[in-house]
Amino acid sequence: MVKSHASRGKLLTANLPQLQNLIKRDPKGYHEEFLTQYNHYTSLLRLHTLAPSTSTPNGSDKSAEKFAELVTFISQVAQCYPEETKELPSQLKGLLLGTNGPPVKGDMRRTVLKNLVMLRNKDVIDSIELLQTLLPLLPHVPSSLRSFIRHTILTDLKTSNAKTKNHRLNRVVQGLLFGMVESGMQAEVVGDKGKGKGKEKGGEAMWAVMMVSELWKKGVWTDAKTVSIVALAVFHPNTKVQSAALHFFLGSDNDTGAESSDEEDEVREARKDVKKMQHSLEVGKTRKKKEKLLKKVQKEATKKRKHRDAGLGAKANFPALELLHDPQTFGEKLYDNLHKHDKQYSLDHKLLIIQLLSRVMGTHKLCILGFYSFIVKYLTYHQLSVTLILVALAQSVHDLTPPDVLTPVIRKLAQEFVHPGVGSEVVAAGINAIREVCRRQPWCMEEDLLSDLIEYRKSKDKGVITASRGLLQLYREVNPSMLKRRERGKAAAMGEVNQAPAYGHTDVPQGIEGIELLEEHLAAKQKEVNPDQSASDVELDLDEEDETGWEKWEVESDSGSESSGWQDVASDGDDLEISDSEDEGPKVKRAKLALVEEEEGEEGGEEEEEDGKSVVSVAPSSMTVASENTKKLSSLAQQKILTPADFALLNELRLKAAQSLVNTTSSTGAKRKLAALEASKRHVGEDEASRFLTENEILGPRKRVKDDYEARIESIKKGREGREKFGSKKGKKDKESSSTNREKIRNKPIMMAVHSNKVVQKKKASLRDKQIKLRASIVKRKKQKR
Amino acid sequence: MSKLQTSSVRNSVKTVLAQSGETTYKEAGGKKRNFVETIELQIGLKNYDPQRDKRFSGTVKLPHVPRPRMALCILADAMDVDRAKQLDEELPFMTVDDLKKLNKNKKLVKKLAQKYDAFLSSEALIKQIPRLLGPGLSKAGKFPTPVSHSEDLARKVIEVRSTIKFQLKKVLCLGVAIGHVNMDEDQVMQNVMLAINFLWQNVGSLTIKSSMGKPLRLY
Repeated sequence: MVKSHASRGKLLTANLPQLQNLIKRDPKGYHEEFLTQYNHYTSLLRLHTLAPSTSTPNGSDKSAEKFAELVTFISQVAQCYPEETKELPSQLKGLLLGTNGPPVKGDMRRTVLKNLVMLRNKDVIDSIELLQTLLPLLPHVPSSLRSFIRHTILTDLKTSNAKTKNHRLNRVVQGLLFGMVESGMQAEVVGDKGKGKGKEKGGEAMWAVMMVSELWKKGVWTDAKTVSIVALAVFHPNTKVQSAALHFFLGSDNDTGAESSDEEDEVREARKDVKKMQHSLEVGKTRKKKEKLLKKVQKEATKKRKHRDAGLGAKANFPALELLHDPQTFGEKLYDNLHKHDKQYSLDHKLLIIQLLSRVMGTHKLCILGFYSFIVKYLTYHQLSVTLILVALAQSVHDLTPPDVLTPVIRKLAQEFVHPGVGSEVVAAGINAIREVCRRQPWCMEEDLLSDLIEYRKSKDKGVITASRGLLQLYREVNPSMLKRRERGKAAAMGEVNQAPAYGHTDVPQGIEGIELLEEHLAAKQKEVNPDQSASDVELDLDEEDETGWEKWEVESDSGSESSGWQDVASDGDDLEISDSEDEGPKVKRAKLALVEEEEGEEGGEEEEEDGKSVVSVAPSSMTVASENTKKLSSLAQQKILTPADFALLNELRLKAAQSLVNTTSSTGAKRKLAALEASKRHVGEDEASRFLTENEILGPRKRVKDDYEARIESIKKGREGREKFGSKKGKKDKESSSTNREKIRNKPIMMAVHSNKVVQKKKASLRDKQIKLRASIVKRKKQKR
Repeated sequence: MSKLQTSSVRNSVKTVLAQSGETTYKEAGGKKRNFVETIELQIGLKNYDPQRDKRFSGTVKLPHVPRPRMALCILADAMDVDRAKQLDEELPFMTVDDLKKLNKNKKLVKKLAQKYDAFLSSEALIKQIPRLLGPGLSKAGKFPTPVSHSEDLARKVIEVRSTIKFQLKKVLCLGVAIGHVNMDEDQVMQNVMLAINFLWQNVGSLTIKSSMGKPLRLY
């Protein structure tokens, strides 16, 4: 503290870190020192911009080093002198991007970059400024620096979007990324087939797509603008960029990749077994790091659980495909791209495009008619990865696809795949593909072709049989009139099947399915409660019932566990329809019931049975008399707001009706309906879990083929590994154990045995003793035999 | 968030009607407009995961026509042209030749799609629609409803007018017209009830409003 001013200055100029430390403690006092350093920095900077040769190896290494040191120093203390260092961020930016003079290289670049990031961390500059610098840098730096930049960008975006979406920042960055993709769009398309294959890198567009998809995977960006960036990249002339964008839409790695890649492996490992970690903490030494890890994992788990319990509520993620702006144009452009560069793209790439196109067509119900004539040429059984093409074909079809476009495709499929000259797997795949197409658009089939295909159900291969039967079953349901009379099946023959709507028609439901059942049921119940109640009174009671239903709803939504009312309704079995809703109902209900029981005494038990019968008997009649439904509907669905309990009841009644239908007609169609109902009851809303077709559905069930000789030997050898040779263990004693007593006796020298007490005593024994022993031994032996 | 009761729904319907009724608007605090306001129902969804569940869409026929002035057009063959001319209020029609004149021109098709709220089509023609017009109509969500020669055209028109379509797009809420202010209370009530019951399972919030009136939260 008592040092003279001059000596202090000398010390400080030599030692920047110390000065930095002092400045941070007392910015005002060291202002002058700072200014000298700052002037030094500016002069060096000017030198650098004017004479870029400073980075050449001869001698000027030192000045570069000095410059780097100074940059670090200035940015470290920048927050203390905001006025003086106003220019600093833009100067650093200029150095990195080379706006005035050449951009810096090597170590210098790294230093400048780190300092810029530090400025951001100290809130000297905002994220927008930082990201505007970092994004353009991405394609030009070596890989080590690149990963640093990527990481910085991602974390920065993630933190600024953590609490609420930072729309301003997102818009700017998305604009930048969009520009990065767009800048390369004018170039000529170079395919990835033949010469020069995969030579050129994607450049900045590639990085843009990668950043976007990573941010999408982490759920940082979930809006339409993000999708539009990638949608643009799908048409980028570079195939690598294209394929990255296509993968984004196909979501091929969204399951495993969803786990954030930058997370430490430890955390991921720890997540697997929390229990084990807890135990090891209890037993072993306490370690801070481990504890922290455990806490993190547990927090994550609870967060996840909460999220699940809330039912994902407010912020739901739409899949990228749904967020496409103007899917029709997108699809058309995609098809044009595919069609135009058919020769240039490799098969894998074309497959990706086809897959995406078909998904877009399927989800948005687009008509891109050229696609079907295009795909026809790929429909040969020896085409590589033809199953994927078949899947794509089936997926692209929907109920508004014109049947006349599909008919030639179906015909070609049948010609190529379904004839005796090919293997049975091919036939099965062909019929399955045809079935999947027809399921989506039943009107594309021709009568004689169908009858041909159905004949294959008499084939010998199991896969072919199932495929063909599936097709038959499909047409029994959707359009029996195309089948021969004897193949129509019982349900269709009796006219119970409702056909699929003709092209362009949509089934407009007249109300809620099965509502008439509920209505009948309620009416029946009312009658039981007080038989002479007039119809007008029913409404009054409906409101009362409203109460019960709602209360139950409240209870359930609170507890939300599996043991609540919903499950009870489902699992009770046969006699549940009234008893259930009344068990949990409030006291009003109970009182009413008690009254009834008093009045009717013993009859109470029979009520339920009667009730069940009446409901069941309604079902078939309601099927046949469809015209009356509209009138029936008007009474209930328009007067009363159905409660969740009502819906549970309704489902139950529908299930019952379906069951009774199965019992009376025993048709497969009815059975299937029942199964579907039951399935939907078990897990609500999960019926459409797999939205897309898979290859397995086209391939069908396949018999496992017998292994060839090599494979069998291989598996035998694998089985032998690490086991002993088989065989008797006799005579092979364990090395560790000592000899047994029995062995010792056996090996005893004969002369010793002869003179042993045991033998001598036997010799000396009297005749009587010998007799006694003999007899005893005989008796013993006899007993043993028995 | 508590229960939804018939009486409360009725009350809100009453207020909505009162706010734009000719005699009642003053005390109800609304304003009478110079056109027939439409009453719409806005629905917020819950328990719905767009990643996993199928796209939410559905159509339902209401008991009363919510939009009587809905502009319809029939894409007709010769016989349906005659029938369309004979209706009480003549139904605009377009023949195959008219459609061919559009020549798949995107702008013209778009114009056509914008001009009308919904389309009908003769059964014989419906299969050619995608070829004749391209994707324009289905892009606008106005793919025609087929009419066969045996059906009564007038009834079909009413049916189309009273059918409402729920369609979810990019956000987790939907709005749908369920009536207009010249309908009486019971009619609106019945329409509302049916619409609510139709999609009850997924409803998170319900709001009713007239075109220019104040929104009223039902649930």
